[in-house]
Amino acid sequence: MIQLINLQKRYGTGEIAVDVLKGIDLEISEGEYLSIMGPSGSGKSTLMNIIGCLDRQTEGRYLFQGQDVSEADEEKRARLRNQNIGFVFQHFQLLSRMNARQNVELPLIYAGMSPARRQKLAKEALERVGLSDRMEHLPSELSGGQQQRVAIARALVNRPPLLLADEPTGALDTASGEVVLKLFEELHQDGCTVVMITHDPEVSAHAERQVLIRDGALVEDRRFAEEGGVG
Amino acid sequence: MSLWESVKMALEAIRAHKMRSILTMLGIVIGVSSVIVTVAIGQGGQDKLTEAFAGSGNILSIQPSADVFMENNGVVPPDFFTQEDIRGLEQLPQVEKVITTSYQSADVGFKEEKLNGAMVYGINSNAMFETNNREVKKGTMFQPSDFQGGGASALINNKAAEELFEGKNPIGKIIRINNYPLVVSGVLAPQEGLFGSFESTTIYMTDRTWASVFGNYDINQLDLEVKDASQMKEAGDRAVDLLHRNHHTEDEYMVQNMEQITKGISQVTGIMTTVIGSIAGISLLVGGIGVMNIMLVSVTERTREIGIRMSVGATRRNIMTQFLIESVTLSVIGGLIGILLGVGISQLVNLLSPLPATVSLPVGIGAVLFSMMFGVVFGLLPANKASRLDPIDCLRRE
Ligand SMILES: Nc1ncnc2c1ncn2[C@@H]1O[C@H](COP(=O)(O)OP(=O)(O)OP(=O)(O)O)[C@@H](O)[C@H]1O
Ligand SMILES: [Mg+2]
Repeated sequence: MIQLINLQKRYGTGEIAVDVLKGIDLEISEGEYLSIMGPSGSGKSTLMNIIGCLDRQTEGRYLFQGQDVSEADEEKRARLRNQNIGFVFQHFQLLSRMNARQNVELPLIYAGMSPARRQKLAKEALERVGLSDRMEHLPSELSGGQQQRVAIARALVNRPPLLLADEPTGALDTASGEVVLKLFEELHQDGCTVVMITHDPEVSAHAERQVLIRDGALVEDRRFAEEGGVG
Repeated sequence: MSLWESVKMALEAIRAHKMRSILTMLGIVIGVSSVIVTVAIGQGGQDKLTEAFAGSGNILSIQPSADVFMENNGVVPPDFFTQEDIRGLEQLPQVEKVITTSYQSADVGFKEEKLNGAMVYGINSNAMFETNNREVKKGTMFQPSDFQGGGASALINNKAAEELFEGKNPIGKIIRINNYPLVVSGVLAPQEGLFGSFESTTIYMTDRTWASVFGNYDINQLDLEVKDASQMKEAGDRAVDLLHRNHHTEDEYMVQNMEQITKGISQVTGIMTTVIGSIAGISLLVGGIGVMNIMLVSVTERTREIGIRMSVGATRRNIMTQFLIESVTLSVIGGLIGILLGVGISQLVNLLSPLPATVSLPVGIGAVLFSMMFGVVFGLLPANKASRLDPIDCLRRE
């Protein structure tokens, strides 16, 4: 599903240029559950933003479902984000003026869906993350764990094949984090490809495959046996 | 996303920042309303002046040329218009009616009272009253039969009634001009409008009666009511031709075209309106810049929102449209409130001051379109700025 070939990212030019990603080669297949670990500043988020079409590499190739999306124009990349990728961020990134349901509807608005259909799908997604009783609440009226579940509902409402999560449990207590990880596990079971950045080895252990990045380079790529994933 | 949904979204954003939105709109509200009020007063003034000078209807005035006027010390010579001329002019296909007016100042007596130097008019129809919207406040107007026969009745204006009768009812009383007795049949209501206060003591009678009182048929003013406004020029040309033929001259008669007067008036008031209107327009401009300013602040404040929207699939165009629609919505709401306020103030001006204010529909429509345009023009910069933001930078903001 995802193919990264000698992917490089450089900020700035000349003397002050910083190489953040120094030639990453990585292949992620359909339906994988992958975690990315690494020290702070190693380039994990940068890598994920490129995979999520929010950013572009400076060198190398990125193929999504066989297509070189770094060549695509803004419209096409926006559509890709809308239809194929769901994001979950450490700090939830919900719109504070909108209630849970409206937040979840957001991707569907840009998908051009009718209001009635949007509402129906948003409600279903919120039910799926166990928030059927919090649909009309503003983010400020929800706990951190609940807010992250709203964000997950928003990420999955358009049924994208790829879910990208940047430290989704980073701002949550252990119990809330468990709920989030359980949802990811379910999505994975449904065939969704999940890529998750984390600092926490215990969280990382939920994935089937672990990738370690250090100083902009991929230093380890481990696969667990099916049952070894949980433990 | 449909336009209506975008507008709804914009309205929600506007409502979310009520105070700020209201303050932003204020600039547009004041700008639009002041433009409307100035243009309304300008238009009203023009209407009023035009009406005062030119009356209304398709009326042409035939006058002596400047040379003839000079030779006769500024008056129309006695045989300038003859009964034959009038009959000829009445035959012209474009002419609906020939309106003649004779006037002369004379002393008027009632019992022992005497009024020196009143204006005495002889008229061949009620056209003069109709074009100036004059009505009797007591008694009756001249009837068609009055113009046929030579009944000795007279209409007097309000001022004459006050000076001769001092509060007593003048109807049916007999006044004398040149020792000729006339029955007062009606009193005209005071003239409204700009020239009302300049009205002198005036007596009106039919042309036949006038001829009996003064012993001649001299006509001082001749107007033509033309059947259709499009025939004004043709009617004027043919009338002047006919008069030249009748009097064997080539250059003594001319048409005084009301259009020229009207044009002159609208030029003067037009310049005034433009000057004041542009000053008002500047306040609209300032209002527009206010909108831009606030929209720029709003973009900065909402960078995280922009990043979130982009991450879930909003294109740069979506973001651009969102902010543009927001500024247009803000401006149009401001514009609509401005129109209401402008119309309200205009009505108040109408009510409380002698200045007439006429709000015209095109100005209202123009104001809405204008504020819409303002929303686009002054929303463009902020919207463009919003759409060019880097989603990653946006998401990093707290
Ligand atoms: N816009 C930028 N300009 C210059 N340097 C940048 C920019 N964005 C990121 N960097 C640098 O790139 C490096 C990698 O950043 P990145 O956010 O990918 O790290 P990370 O692995 O996600 O770290 P963390 O675990 O703390 O989130 C950092 O050293 C950072 O300073
Ligand atoms: Mg990071």
